[in-house]
Amino acid sequence: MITNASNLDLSLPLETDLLIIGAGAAGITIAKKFANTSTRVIVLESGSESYNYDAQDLNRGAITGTPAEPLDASRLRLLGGTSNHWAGWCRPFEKEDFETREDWPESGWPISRHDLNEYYDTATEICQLSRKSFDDIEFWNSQPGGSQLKKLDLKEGRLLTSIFQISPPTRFGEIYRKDLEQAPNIQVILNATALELLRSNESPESNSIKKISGVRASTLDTQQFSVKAHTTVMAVGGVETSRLLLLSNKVHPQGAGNENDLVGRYFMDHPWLRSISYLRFQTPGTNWPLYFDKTKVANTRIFGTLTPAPELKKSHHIGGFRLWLQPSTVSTAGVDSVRTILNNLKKGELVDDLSNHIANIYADADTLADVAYKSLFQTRQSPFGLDTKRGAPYLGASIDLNIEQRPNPDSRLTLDTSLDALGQRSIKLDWRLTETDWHTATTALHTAAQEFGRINAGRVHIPLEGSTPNWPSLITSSNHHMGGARMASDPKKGVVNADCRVHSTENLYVAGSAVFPTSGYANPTLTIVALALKLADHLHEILR
Amino acid sequence: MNFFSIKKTLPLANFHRRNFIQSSVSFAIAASTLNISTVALAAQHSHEDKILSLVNNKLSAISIGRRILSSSHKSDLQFTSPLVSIMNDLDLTEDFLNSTTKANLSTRFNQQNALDFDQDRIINVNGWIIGLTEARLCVLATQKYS
Repeated sequence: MITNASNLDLSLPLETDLLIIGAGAAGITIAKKFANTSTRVIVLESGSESYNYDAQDLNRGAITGTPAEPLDASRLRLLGGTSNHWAGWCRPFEKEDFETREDWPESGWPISRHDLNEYYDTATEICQLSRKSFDDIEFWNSQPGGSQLKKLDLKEGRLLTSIFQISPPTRFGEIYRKDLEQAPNIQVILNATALELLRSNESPESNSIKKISGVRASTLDTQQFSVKAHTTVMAVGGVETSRLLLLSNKVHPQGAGNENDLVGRYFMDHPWLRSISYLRFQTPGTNWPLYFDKTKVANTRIFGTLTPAPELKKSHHIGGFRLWLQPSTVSTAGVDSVRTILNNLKKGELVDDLSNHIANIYADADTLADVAYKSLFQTRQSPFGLDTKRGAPYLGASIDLNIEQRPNPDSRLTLDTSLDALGQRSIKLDWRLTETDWHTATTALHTAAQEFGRINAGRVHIPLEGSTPNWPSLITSSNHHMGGARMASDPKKGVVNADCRVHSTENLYVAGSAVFPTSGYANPTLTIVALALKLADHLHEILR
Repeated sequence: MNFFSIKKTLPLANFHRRNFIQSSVSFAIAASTLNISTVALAAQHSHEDKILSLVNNKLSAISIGRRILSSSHKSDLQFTSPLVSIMNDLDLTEDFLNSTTKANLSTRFNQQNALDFDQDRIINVNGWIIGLTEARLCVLATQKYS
């Protein structure tokens, strides 16, 4: 059943066996696993079935530190959650992403990739992908439309080709709505925002392990109610998890699960350097379909990225990264120069070699006019004969870079002083990168330049210089909110344990990317779903 | 507007990125497009001229060479004797230079270039990452022509 909270009698507490807060990819995955069982499930969703400005506004939050995408735009409050606007890029985390690295502080998950393998397989089905083995190039080549997909001849131990599959993308609220609606044991309550977790009277004050009785919630018109549950799962995303835990100061004065001042800390995203570099091809007309196109093969679109070999990460003490290419039929020299000048002007500085940049712009007037025209009229059709549809050869490719952020306790989410429409303190994100992240980014680009030169593909322009971080203004987040309730075996090092249970409680769990101790380079959704499936199995055991 | 006509009018002092990359990248392009021809290098040319025949765009090569020599690489010993360094690295003996074709010379140059990148013998010139040998070739062109 799917219903609006306003249509329910909320005068008495609702009761259930399993309370799931949040109906996004993680929450729906867990609820689905309980469909048509004897376990009573209530799913609270803050939004409704369609976009609602008032609900969305509850996501508003402040950002300090490194510029990140606005918090009210990067997440969605409606049935299906943020899956309603995700791009669908999927890839599991690598085996080594789960392992402890001596040179990577705070690394290592209390579970291994092996523990997740079967769940990743199921997650690929849930995310509507066609293949469990992502890098099986022989398979992709054997399928209609896939024969032209060739890997670059990259040096062993340096760079790898890592293939992503793109989900349709799965809109969890649409695709799995019927499963939720038809299951007699599941009640999805829309327009129900969790305000705070409630501590059970059964848990004595002296007991260091607390029990959660449920949640206090509210409709958008501020009608409050509570839900009592045997077990509670927070599936509210990588930002709201920290917020709800911190708001729950009746469970613990510093917030539920925050006995060791870890809630909100180690926040991570995948720093994204858009079009940070340019590869000028040795041979005009170079075409690498695996890397340039989102090719539909076996009913799924796939594309290749360049990622570090484990040996490169170890030898250079860097994190993971993902380089991806966007081919261009026009030179970007003039565009780059305009951007460089504007970026410097924003900082109140003039560029060192202004005359050279002006020469670039002068010589590249055709390209600039073309870019301006396409931008102004939102079209790919060029009035200057520079359109790819006319078969112009690729002259180069811009390089985008996403990196793995090193876990940093000072990169954190805290409660702000401002209040939202429900009277709750909003969230503040202080996203902080480290010198290690800078080193990862520069090494990634340097290695790419090395490899493209080695295979004689072309030469790469890298605008980042020096060993001291000097992030360009182009940097942004990828809307991959991770950390804040990291997973660790030791309660002093993590908020949740290997089962995703909050260490200091006996019946509160976290589903979603907030539990990631490290971030890898892959988009998080597939891992979120895999972890949710694993958690669902665990919950089946304890609720049996 | 055609930038190919404009670039010729740019003053040499201006380091033009497009010229730069066309020049550096085009060493090998020259090899690949000219390798059909097996015309032996004219015997009367000096070794320097033979090696510099690999340069596809003198103007750009000079620009790059000047940039290298005016940058922190100025005092770099790697660029003090570019001709000797190139001949040593490419193992260019007098006999080889007297008898080889431009295509063969280009092949050897490309192999060395790939090796430069593989072994991280690369330099950063105004943000562009180029191989040491091609950088030396630009310096050589600068010394010879400017």
